[in-house]
Amino acid sequence: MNKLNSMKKRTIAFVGATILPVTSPAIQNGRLLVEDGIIAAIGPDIPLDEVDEIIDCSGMTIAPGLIDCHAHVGIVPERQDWEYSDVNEDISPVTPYVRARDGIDFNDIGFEEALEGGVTSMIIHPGSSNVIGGLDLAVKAAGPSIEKRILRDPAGMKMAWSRGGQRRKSGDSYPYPNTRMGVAAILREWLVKAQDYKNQKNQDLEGEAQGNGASSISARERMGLENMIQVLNREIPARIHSMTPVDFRTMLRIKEEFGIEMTIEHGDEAYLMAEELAEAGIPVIYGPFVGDRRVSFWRHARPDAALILARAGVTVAFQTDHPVIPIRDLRIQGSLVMRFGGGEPDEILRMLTINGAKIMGLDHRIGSLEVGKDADFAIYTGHPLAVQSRVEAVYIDGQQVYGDKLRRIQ
Amino acid sequence: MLLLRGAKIYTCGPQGTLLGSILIKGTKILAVAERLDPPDGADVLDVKGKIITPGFIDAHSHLGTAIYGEQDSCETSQVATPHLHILDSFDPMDLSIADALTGGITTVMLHPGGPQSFGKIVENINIIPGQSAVIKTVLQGAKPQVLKEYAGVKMAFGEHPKRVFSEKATGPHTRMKVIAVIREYLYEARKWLNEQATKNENGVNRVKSLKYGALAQVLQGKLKAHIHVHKIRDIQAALNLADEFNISIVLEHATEADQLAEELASRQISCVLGPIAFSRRGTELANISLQTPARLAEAGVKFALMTDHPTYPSHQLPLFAGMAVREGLDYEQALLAITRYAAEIIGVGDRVGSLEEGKDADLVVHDGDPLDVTGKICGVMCNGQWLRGYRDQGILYDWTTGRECK
Repeated sequence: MNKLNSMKKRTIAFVGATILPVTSPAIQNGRLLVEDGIIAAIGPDIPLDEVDEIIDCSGMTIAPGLIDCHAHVGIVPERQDWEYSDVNEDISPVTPYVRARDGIDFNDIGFEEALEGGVTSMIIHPGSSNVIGGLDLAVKAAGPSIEKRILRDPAGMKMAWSRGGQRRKSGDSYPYPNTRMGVAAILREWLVKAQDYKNQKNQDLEGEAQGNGASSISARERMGLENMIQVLNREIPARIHSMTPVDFRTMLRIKEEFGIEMTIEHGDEAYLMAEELAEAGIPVIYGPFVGDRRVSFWRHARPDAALILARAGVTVAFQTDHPVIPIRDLRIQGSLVMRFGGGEPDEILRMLTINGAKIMGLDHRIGSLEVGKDADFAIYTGHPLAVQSRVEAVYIDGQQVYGDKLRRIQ
Repeated sequence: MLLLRGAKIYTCGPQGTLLGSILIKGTKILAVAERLDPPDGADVLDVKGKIITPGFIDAHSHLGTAIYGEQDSCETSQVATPHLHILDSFDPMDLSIADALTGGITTVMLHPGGPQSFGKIVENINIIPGQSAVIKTVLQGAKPQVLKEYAGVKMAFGEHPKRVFSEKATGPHTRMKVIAVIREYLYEARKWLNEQATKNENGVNRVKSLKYGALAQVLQGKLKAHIHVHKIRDIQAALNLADEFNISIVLEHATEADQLAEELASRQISCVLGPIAFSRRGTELANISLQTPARLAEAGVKFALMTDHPTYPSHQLPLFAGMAVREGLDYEQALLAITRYAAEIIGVGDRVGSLEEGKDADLVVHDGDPLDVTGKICGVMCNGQWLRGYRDQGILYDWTTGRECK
């Protein structure tokens, strides 16, 4: 290859498919042009003269890679029993110093399973045992290296209310709370601690004597408080496992008191106060929606809950909570809400793509098919919400990462 | 009498698939044919462009016995409880019964033993959780309509019973002990059965007959043993047990059945698969696959699909069939797995499972694909009565949205 050729950008065109860009109307018999891993053009009649490779997608449907904002892929390993899980560091209800990143097996088959279902990006959380559980990581499902796969690190601080944070444990120097009041008190305590630590640090920086304040605490505590400062500074949101209005109302008070950002994770009953949540600008990462009556906290679950929230103006994204629901079936979460909740395909598809990207803080890179965004997409045999549609191929950063080779026209 | 005219009918019976009409009289189907003239006085409903299937059958369910965390489906106080009957735990107030019916599920087999757990490490189960029943998803007062009261005996092998009892002195702590307990019970039941033959009515030990009566029926071939298995080794153990005691078995869950498919086919052993969309949780489910139904069909193994409600809710059953189609299963085979094959495996094939003369008038009218979310249900008939949809004559509406079907 001569120097001139190697400088030239490599372009691939995907032609003949129904394209669902999500942020703009569907394109029949459309063309998608990818240049060095980025979407270069999209439309019904893009010129193909300068293109290096043309892939035939006639009869297929192309949609953006799906986004699962709440999963435990690799941190609860597939095919192994619960003893092998790295998800809950339940030594204490407060572990802000741990990072999901340090517990993830990046070779876990769950990432392959994500591709099987057209999922290209996800947030991996620590579990919900602890009131403050640790740092989240946003990653792509595949890529040339772990570093290249990482989208946002950290992507949030996992926290847990009700069924999660509130447990009956004792014996540790930090007994677990067993009421919601107890959960709230622990969270407030640590937010205050972090404020004090932050102030002390600022004073230290202003040249006051070292040794009495911030630097006198243990390394573990300092690690945790440094992470909590990111929450206070709104660099990352608190991503809070919570189910019911009892939880949400306290969360709203804490949001007010400390000025932090937060998301509701699960939010089965969030629809009951949809307007308030919309006004407060708190997104809901809804699900996993199963639709049965197995557990008491699903007593008020309803199939159109996500739709009620979205129509009130809340940013809603679906989650699988993998391995609760296999991450492969993220789109089936949408199918169920469409079928049993009566949603329109377009609004459901937004909850599987662009809304998740917004909640990750990455909608400038992923979540829709737009010029300049990462070329992350899946090619389906039919509409992505039909359960009989199969994922034929998945591309991340313009590279095929799943499926057989498609037919090349050129 | 009611004549449904002009639909595409998947009879799931000997008449196959046809474009035609169904005539219903009372609670039964009187005729299915391409052309049927309405008898005098019969109501006629034009269902042109619609699809009719038999009412769907969920062959393995815990409907009515595991509601909002109130676990009533399995005793864990003893390692084996063959004398328990699932209907004694059934709560007619479970709203999921109506959900099931609305989703087109008209018949379910209720097993003792718990649903698969999403959050906990183990489900509740013991080695012989008790006796199973087949019901329709309609209530008669506070009771379900029972299609078959004594429909089978549930058993469970593998990690789940091991884990439930791992902390208890009785064990079992190994698969060896699981099998030993079952054999012990079957030998006791056989002994009891032999004793019965030599006794008159007064000599019968009624406590023992409670304990061993159901197992004796398994030994006599009157009831099947429905055995919870996942791994090949547990399937093999079930086959060994069938040989040793000459009993009929059905493999429940049967996660790795595809790896013994030829043998299962040649021995005509049926499986109730699923729930097939469950994640690869733990070593027992390591090889769960949506392609298993297609592989079993290819090998000629007869199988049904389950939701294991409330592991997944009953009304998702047709969608599992759709996912199996996506992964290579023939469409009509997929329908059979939630209709006639399911009925035959759970022992009610004479009453339900297909649309043919003399069978119960249980059917579903669909607008669009019955096995996908793109389709909608317009009406559900059970025992010849519209229980969902079609209540306003001539107006088709979809229960999920309340909107009129186009």
